[in-house]
Amino acid sequence: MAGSATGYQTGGRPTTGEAIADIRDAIARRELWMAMAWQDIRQRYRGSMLGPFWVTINMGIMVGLMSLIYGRLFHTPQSEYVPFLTLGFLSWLWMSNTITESTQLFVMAGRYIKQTRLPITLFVFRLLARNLIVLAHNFVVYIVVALVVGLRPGWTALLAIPGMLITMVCLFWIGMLFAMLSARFRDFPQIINSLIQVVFYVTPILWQPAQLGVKRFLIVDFNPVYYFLEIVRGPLMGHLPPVGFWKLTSLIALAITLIAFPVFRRFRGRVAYWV
Amino acid sequence: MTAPLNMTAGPSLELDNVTVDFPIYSGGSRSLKKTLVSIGTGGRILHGSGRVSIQALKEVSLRLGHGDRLGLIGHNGAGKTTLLRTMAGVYEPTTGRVRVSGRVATIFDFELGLDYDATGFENITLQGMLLGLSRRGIARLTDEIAAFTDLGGYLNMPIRTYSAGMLTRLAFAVATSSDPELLLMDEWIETGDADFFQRAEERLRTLIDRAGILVLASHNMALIRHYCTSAVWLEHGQLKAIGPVEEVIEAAGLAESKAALAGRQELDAGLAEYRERA
Repeated sequence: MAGSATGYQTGGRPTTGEAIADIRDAIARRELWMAMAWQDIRQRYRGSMLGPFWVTINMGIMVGLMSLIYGRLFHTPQSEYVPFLTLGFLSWLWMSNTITESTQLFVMAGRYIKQTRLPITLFVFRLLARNLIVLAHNFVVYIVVALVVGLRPGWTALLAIPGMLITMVCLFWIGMLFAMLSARFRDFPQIINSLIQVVFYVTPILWQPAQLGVKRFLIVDFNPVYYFLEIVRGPLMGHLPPVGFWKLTSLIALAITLIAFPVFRRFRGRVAYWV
Repeated sequence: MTAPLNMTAGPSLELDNVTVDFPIYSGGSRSLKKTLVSIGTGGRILHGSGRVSIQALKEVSLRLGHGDRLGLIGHNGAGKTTLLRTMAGVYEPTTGRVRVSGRVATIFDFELGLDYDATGFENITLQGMLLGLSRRGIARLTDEIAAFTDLGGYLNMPIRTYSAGMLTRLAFAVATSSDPELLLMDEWIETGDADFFQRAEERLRTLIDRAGILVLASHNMALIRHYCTSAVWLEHGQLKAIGPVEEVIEAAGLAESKAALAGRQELDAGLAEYRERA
C-alpha cells in the first residue's frame, strides 16, 4: 500500500493545535472515509443480490416477530406498539453498533495506520458514516410501518435531526475513546460488549416506561441512553420529548467531549504503536 | 532545538535527535511476541518505571534537502522500517523532532491495502484516495494506470481472481501514480515477469527522478547503488555511518557479522531478564 501526506512535524509535547489539525485533515479527506464506509457496506453484503437491503429485510422480520410477541405480552395496541418498537430498535442498533464496532476500529485499521500518515479521526468518521448508511437502510422499515399503521408525525419528525446530531457528537467521542482504549487494552472490547447487552434490557426499547406501573423508576431516570433514544424516537412518533431532554443530552455531549478530547490530544500519536 | 525550517524552495526532511521506543505490554504474551518479531533482533531492551520497552531508534539526526537520494542499509531489525515510518509521520518520536515539508508518498508493502473482493477499478479509486488524490484526479489518471497494468477487462473483476503477477502490476501502477516531492520506499518488488519488471523499472525511475528527495531501504546493495547517492548504515537503531554509498556499504560490510553477533547476545540477555520480571 502507498499513502501520502503533506508537510508535518512530529515529536515534542502533544498540542491542542495538532489534535484540531487531525480533525480538520480528516474532514478535508471526506472523500476517502466516505469511500471506505461504502466499501465496508459492500464488503459485508457482497455476493447477495439484495446487497445492503438485507439489513432492511432483517430489521423488518425482527420487528414484525417481536411486535407479535411483546405487543401481546404488554397488552399494547399494535398501532402504537409497532412504531414504538421499530423506532426504538433501529435507534438502539444505530447507537450500540457504532459503539461496539468502535472497539475494533483502530485494530482493524492497523495496516492503514502503520503504512502512512493519516488523521486518526478519519477512521471515526468512517465508522459514523458506515453506521449512518445502515441506519438509512433500516429507516425504510419505519416508513413502511408508519404508512401501515397510519402514523403521521408531520413536521415534528424533522426535530429528530437535531437529536441525531447531538447523538452523533457523543458517538464520535465515545467511538474515539473506545477505539483508543481497545487498541491499548485488548480485553476492553469484551467489557463493552457485555455492558451493551445489559443496557439493552434496562433501556425502554421493548417496553415503555409507563408499563412499569410506577411514577419514577431509577433505572430509567438514571439511564442516559433513554434520553438519547427519546430525542430521536419521540419526534418520529409525532410527540416531542420535554425540553429538559434536549438540555440534558446536550450537556452529556459536552461532558463526553470535554473528557475525550484531552485523551485524544494526549494519545493520538501513540495509536500507531498500539495497533 | 528550535531551528527554523529550511526556507529555500523544495522539500526538506529533518530528524533532530530522534528516539523511538516501542512499549512492550506484559500480560498479553501474544502481542509481545508480535512486537518482538516485528522489531526483530536489533533493538535494545530498556527497563524503567515498571514498563519494558525496546529502543528501535536511538538519537538519530539527519537532514535531507532537494536532490538527496538516501539509501538505508542494515540487517533485519536494525531499524530501517521504523526509521522510514518515523520519517513518514506514522510513528511519532518518543523524544526528538521530525520536520517534513513537501508532499510525501510512502511505498512500503504496496499490496497490503488492497480489497480482494473489490474490482480492479474500485481498488484504483480507493488506493488513489489513500495517496491523497481526489475522485476527479483519479478519474484523470485511471486510463493511464489501466494502460500500464495491461489488465484490460480484468479490471472489472474482483481482484481475488488475479494472479500474483497481476496483483503486483495493479498495486505498483497505483502506488507509483502520484507525484510526490518526498518518496519513502521500503524494499522492492520481486514478482512479475521480465517484461513487467523492465516497464516497472522505467516507471519507478521517472517517479524517483521527479521526487526531490528519495529514501530507500533495501537489502539489495545493487539497488541502493543504482538509485542512491548517499547512504546510512543502521545498527541497533543507531546511525553507524553516513556518507557516500560505497563508503557506507563497505563500512557496513566489514562490521556486519561482528555487530550482528553482539546484537543477538544483547537481545538474548534482555529477553531472559524480561522473562524473569514478567
